[in-house]
Amino acid sequence: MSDISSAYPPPVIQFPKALEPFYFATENFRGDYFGTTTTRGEHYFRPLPHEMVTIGFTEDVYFPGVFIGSGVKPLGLFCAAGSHDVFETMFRLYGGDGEKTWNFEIEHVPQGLEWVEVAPGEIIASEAVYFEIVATSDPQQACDGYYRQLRRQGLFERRKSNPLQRQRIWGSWNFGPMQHVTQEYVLRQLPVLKERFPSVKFVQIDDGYERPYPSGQRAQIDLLYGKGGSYDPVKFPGGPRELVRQIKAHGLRPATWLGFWAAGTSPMMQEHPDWVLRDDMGRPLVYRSHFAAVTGGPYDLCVLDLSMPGVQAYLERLCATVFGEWGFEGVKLDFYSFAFQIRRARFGRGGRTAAQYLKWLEDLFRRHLPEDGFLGWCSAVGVGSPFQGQADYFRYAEDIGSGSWELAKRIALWTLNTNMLLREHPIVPNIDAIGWAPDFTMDQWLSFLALCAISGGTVEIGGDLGQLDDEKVLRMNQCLEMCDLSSRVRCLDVPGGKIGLPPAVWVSEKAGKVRMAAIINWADRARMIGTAALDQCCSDWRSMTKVWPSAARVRAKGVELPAYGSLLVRR
Amino acid sequence: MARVEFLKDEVGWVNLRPYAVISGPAGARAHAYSIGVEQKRAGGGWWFGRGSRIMVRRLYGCGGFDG
Repeated sequence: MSDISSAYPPPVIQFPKALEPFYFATENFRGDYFGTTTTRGEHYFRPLPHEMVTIGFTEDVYFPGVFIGSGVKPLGLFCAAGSHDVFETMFRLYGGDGEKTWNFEIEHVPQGLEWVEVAPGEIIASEAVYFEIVATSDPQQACDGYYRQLRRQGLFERRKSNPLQRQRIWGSWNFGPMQHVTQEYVLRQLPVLKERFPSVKFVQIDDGYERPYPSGQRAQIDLLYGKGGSYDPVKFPGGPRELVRQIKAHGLRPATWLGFWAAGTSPMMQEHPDWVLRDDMGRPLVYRSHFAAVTGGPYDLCVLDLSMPGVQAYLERLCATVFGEWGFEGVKLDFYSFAFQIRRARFGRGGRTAAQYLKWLEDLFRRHLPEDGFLGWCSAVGVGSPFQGQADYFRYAEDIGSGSWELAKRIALWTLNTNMLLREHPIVPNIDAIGWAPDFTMDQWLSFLALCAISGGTVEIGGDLGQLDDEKVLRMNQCLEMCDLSSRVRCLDVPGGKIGLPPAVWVSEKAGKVRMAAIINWADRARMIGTAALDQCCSDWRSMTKVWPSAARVRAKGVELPAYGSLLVRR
Repeated sequence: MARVEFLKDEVGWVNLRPYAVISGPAGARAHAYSIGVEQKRAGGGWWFGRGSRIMVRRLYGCGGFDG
């Protein structure tokens, strides 16, 4: 220590070292994505750092806030963005006095711009920020006041019209043919949906329907640019209008997937290289992948610059066609977040920030969709943010794809990360689809369904439904029925150090009461899982109803479960 | 300029003081920001509203500012 002190000391967090402070931010576990394409964090919690850490600077969707808790007593500080209209909110920790205080800054950054210009006399409004000192060291219990305030700000308004609270989705990608989807495959599902999945109303055609280019690459958001049709005429001989007509004829609602980047070999990119968003060094923001490759590859996928008038006009026409002329009533907008969260992205025509262009995009889709249609955000590996605008769902975690036990475990870890601070849900936190996968054993599959059910965010199914036996149909319908936007999921055994297996004990709460509980053995051997924490928060869980059969043996101090087994109970 | 402290027992936020407030001439360019000071009690915590004036930490091409 030195006796030198600054005349202008920095803002600090006061949190004595003796209290063993740690911090949680969703980025601890998620890590960066766009730059590194890695998503494999190993910790939820980290000690307060002496090195500089900026929370809110990583890419893809994250929660814009931080929780600092004590490792020795129930005490914490919670701080989060209160709005996201213009600026990104970032929180910087950078050392401290080593005893009592930790340097702490908040920055509001005009993402997508180098700077903002301020006219003479003009004052720019900042984003709102919320602070609270809480009597808990569990971030899952630190945010009630924050959400009360967000509710007053009108953040939950879209929930009134969100159709997914009652109407679920069948999607063609997961547990299905993925990019090999055909008209025949989709139409084959319609009578099965109608007859066996009464809560499913939307039929969502995922990637794979678009026309291929001579290059071997499939169209993405550019599917309506120029001549040559939009749909693949071999896979979808009837085209979009016939597809929509058939879906509606079955009393169902058509929805579509749109990939919010342009195929690098498309006429759009050949004629308008200036439509590609660039970084702060003028380099085009391009990804290379076999995704969207019909043959050959890998090919470039280009992020569009929304500040370009031509891009705006094209998207306006796209929406007018897809929703107005063709009649789709819902959209999964995939890969949507690159343009708004690549930190080095710079819009070609300055003046509006990424948050403002995102709002423009959201308004565009809302204007063309029916009021009770859905807008779904899907990013590569998003976590959760309360600021998802007037959308109806956001897909978090990883793509379940064809399904596997290893993926189910990862999704469990994501579910906790997403819900740790996103305690209430202005829109549906979509865990991705459920469906049968032969790679699962029956025990593994039911445990995955238990996770999906207790997450409260299961609105989507997938797969070739005619292949399912009665029991699988029943379990999937039960799982869909348990989706509830107003429920909150909480883990009672959150891993404190390096993460091994996902947490075993989960509860779903509504109006302060436990409505469901799940105990899941993620291990590949039988285990006794202690339930002391569950007994404490819900003394009558043993008398709740088993949702489906389980080999669990309930004991006085815990539950004995076979490898991969689980117990799901509800009131 | 106001100095803001939220403290309870031994923990809290201290000296959440803004750096500068923009009211400069045309061409002032703000690069990074701190937060405003118009807070109120809300929810159980403190809320800095959207109406807070933005605080600018670094300025480019700005002949003068109030901060």
